[in-house]
Amino acid sequence: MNLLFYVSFTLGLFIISPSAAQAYLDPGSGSLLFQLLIGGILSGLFAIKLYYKKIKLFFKKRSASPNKENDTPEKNQ
Amino acid sequence: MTLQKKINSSFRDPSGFLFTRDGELLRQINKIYKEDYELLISSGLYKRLSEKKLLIPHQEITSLDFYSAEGYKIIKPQKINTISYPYEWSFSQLKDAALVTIDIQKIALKHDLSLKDASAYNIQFLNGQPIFIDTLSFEKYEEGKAWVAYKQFCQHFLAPLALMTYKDLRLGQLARLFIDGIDLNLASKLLPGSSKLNFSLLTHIHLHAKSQKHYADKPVNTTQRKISQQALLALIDSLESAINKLKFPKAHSEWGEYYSFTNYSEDAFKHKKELVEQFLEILKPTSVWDLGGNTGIFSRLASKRGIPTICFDIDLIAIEKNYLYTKQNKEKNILPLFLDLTNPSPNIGWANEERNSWQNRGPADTLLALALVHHLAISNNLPFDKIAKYFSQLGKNLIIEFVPKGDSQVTKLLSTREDIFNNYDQENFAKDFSKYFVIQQTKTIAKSSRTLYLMTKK
Repeated sequence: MNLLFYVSFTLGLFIISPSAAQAYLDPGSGSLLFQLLIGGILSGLFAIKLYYKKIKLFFKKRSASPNKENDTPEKNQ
Repeated sequence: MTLQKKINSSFRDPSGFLFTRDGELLRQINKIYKEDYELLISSGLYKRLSEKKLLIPHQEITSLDFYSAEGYKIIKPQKINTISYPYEWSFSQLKDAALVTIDIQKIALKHDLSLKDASAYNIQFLNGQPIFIDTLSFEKYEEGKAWVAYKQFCQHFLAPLALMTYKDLRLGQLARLFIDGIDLNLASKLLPGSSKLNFSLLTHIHLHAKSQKHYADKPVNTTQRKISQQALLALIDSLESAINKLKFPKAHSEWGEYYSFTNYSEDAFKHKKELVEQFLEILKPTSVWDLGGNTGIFSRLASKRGIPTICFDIDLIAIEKNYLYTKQNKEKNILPLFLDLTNPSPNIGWANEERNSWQNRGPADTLLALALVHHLAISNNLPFDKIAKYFSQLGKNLIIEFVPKGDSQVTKLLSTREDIFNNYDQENFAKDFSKYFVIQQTKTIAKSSRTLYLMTKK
C-alpha cells in the first residue's frame, strides 16, 4: 500500500470526523476512536491476507501432491 | 484468629482483589463481576484457556466467609513461585507475554468475551512459560465495541519491544519508570524515522500517538460509533504480526560470552561445579537465587534437582540466551531475570506498594554468588560489609566464591583503575561476612586461587 496515501487518508479522517459535546475525552478515548478510524483499512488488509493465504495453500497442496503419489506403497514396491 | 491481608497489586480493579488468609493466596470476586465471571465459566472460555495453559487455573472455595461485604465468590488460584515484572524480563520474555495476551484475546472473542485490560503485569512465568494470572480481566463482548485494552497493549508490549528492536535493548527498562507502559507519544519520539516504514508500527504507534494527541482535548461522541467484529479481529491480527515482526537486535556482549573467556582451567571449572553440588546437597534448598548467574550454568545445578531457581544477571543478552535455552529445553524450574545488584528493582507504584522490590519478594532459601564479589567490590567500590548485609537480607544461606587479587580476572579489573582496595583480601572478606553469616564450610577450588564458602545467616 502506498504509505503516503495511508498517512494522508488516516490523518484526513481526523480532520473530517464530526464532534459532539457528549464526553470529555482523555488519550484513552483517542485510542478508541483510532480503532474505529483504522478498523476499515485493517479489515480490508486482513481479508486480502486471508485470501492470499488460501491461494498459497492451494498451490502448496498442488505442488505437494505429486511427491505424495511417489511415496505411496504401491510405487515403492 | 484468622489472619488476612489484601495484596497491594490488585486494588485498582472493582471486580475483586487478591488477599492472603492464613498464608493462603485467595481472590475475592465482587458482586459487580458476578455476571462476567459466570460467563467466563459457562462459555467454556475458562476451561479452554486453562487447558491451553494460558490462564492460571483456580479452585472455587465454597466458603462464604468473604473478605468484605461486596464479595460474591472466593477462588484459590494456582500458586506462582516467583512474581516478576516486565522490567525484569528479556526481550523474548516480553514478546512471549505479548503473544500470550493476543492469543487469549483471540480465543476470548470466539467465546463472546474480551479482555478489558492488557497489562504486562497480568502475565507471570509458571513452569518456564508465560501465563495470564488475572481471572477477572474478562468482560462480555458487545458487537460493535472497540477493544478497550488496545492502548494498554500498545503501551505495555508493542512500544517497549519496538524500542528494544529499533533503538536499544536497555530501553525495556523504561517500564520501571512508567508503570502503565510507555506513552505512545514518547515511543513515537524515541523511535527512529525508519520505524515509520514498518506499516504496523506506523499505525499502532506513530499514528495512534497522533490520534491520542489530536483528540486529547476534543469532546467527541463515541457512543454511536461501532467497529465490526471483522475489523476488531483484523486489529488483533495486525498487532500479532507487529509483535511477531519485532526481532531481538543483533548485538555483541562481553558477558554473553563469559564462559568462553574464563581464566580458570577445565579442571577448576569442573571442581567448582562439584563443590556447588556438594553444598546444595548439604543445604537441600527450597529455592535458589543465582546472583550474576550469566546464562545459568550453575543455576542449572539447582534447577535440575527440582529446586525453583532464578538466574539473575545484569546482561540482557545473557538473560535472553538463557530464556531461549529454557524454552527450547522446556525447563520448568529455572527463570532468567534481569537484576542490577547495584540498583535492584525497588518498590514502585502507588504509595510505593504496587510492585515489590526483590528484598520484599524474598528471602530466598539459598543465594549463589559465584565469581561476583570482585565485580561488586572492585568495579563498584562496594565494601564487603555492605555486600554481606544486603545478601543477608536476600537469602538465608549463601554459597559464595571469593576471588583474590592475584586472580587474572581481578587483575583485569584493576588494570583500568587505581588500586585503592587495600581491604580486598580473604581475611577481611571472611571477617565482614561473619558479621551477618556463620561460615559453615570453606573449600579451595582446585587449580585456582579461588575459595568457595558455605554460609548460613545468623
